Amino acid sequence: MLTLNNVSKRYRGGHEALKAVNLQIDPGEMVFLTGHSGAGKSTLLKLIAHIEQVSGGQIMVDGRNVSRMSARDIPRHRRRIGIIFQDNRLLPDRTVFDNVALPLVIDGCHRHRELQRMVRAALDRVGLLNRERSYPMSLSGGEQQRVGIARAVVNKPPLLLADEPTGNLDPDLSRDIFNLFVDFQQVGVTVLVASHDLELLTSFNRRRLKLEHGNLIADFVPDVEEARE
Amino acid sequence: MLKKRANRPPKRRQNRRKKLGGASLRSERLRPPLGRSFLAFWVAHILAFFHGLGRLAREPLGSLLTITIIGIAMALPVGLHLVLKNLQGLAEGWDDATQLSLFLNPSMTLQDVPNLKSRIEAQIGRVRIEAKGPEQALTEFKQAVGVAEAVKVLGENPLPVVLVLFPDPDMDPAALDAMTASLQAFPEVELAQLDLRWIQRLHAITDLGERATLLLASLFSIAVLLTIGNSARIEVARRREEIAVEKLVGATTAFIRRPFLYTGFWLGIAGAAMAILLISLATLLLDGPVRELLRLYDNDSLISGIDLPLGGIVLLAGVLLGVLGALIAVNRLLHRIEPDW
Repeated sequence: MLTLNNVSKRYRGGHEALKAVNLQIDPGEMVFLTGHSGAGKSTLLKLIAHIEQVSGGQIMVDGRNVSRMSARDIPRHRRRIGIIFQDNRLLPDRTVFDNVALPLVIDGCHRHRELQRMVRAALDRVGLLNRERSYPMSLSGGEQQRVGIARAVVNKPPLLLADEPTGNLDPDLSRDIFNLFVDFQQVGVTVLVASHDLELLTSFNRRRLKLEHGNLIADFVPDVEEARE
Repeated sequence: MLKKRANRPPKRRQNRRKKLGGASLRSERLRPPLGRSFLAFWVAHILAFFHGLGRLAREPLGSLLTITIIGIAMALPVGLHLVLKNLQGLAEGWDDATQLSLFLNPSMTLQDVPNLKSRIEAQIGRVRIEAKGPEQALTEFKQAVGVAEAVKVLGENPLPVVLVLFPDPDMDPAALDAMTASLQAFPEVELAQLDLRWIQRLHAITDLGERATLLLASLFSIAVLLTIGNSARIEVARRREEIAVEKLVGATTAFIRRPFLYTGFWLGIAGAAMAILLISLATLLLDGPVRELLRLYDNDSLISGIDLPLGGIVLLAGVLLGVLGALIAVNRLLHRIEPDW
């Protein structure tokens, strides 16, 4: 699903955010990306979605070479990836329904019925079907984040990226959000979550990647005993 | 045939399974099939068409101001064009009447005219000549100017016999001048006067005005482009976050740009409509005074306002300027907004 070969990223000014990262994630895997802030977690996600371009190496997503993608294909590449942000990035002047519908509209979904069905299905998944007419500002932080997730999954992307999705939420709400990710994994979606909330990650027994100063220093599946501790 | 049919159902099932579970397994075509994208293209345009209008409706006062500015900017050159057109119409009405008046010596009477006529024709060729006796001239004079009382005081009719020649209207000015000079040489002619010069001057003035209108139209077109471009720029700045999010979830530049172009379209067409409205209003207000003026000049031609072809051109210009102005302004800006988080 996702392959990184010797991927490095150097910003203008010389800061090296990623150094020769090699990585392979299989379809349907759920992987946590950890590390202190500034370790390169966000950079890695941005490279995958072609928000930023690699300085060296190669990224393959779903068989597509991201590093050698033409400008025309970038938007369509992003449509095949659901992205969840720490600050949810909802548009405040649009209803929950319209926010979630945005990727479908962009993808040229022109049958209103189909659009309605898919938006409602996504909202149903995150348990917010009854709030489709609300505006984001009238929702709680956890609800807003769930709307953001609904928007990320509405057009059924095979790959889901989340960058500190629970950074602004209390532990209970964070657990709910992570449970949603598990749900998506169970229907075959590949999920890559960047988070530094180790306590929360521990209760989910999933493969973990650790970045430090742009180096991938650990790639392991914690054993069940550790998870229970 | 039968075998093939029998084979179909399992195949279909296979496909379905592929769709459900295998989406992530294989690399899929990124671009949608042509038929679907064609329909989506038109749907997207129709949506953006109304979306663009909706954006204007959300800021009614600001939109109205912009539309009024565009309207005034477009009304000025179009108005000047109409003024010139009316002046030209006026001049054309008089063109047929290009005439040469021969005021004869006071000693000449109508009895002398046929003789003189034949000598004139011998000199310059056949030409329509009308003779006006002093009585006829006096009567016209009284009617036209309404100075009957003053004329009465004169007692004796001071007006001479006048011959009016109607030369070929296509004759060039130099030939007309030469003809006038040769007629002036007749001893019976007190004064030969060509009633043309002021029409030539008027033509020269309207030609100049036509140039000035073109220049003015170009300048004001730039003003309209800048006005629409500026409001598009403000709109982009206001929607920065929306644009960034749209890019993040995979919108093409064309998709993001479209509503801005249609907003430009609406501004342009509404501005053009405003210009037509302003000109129609001005025409209405000026109609009375101009009619009076024309009456005084013995001209019954009607003042011509904005007509259908001109209105169409104005609307088309508005649309073109609107879309172009938005395109120029937005294109560069959209590329500068980097999606990021």
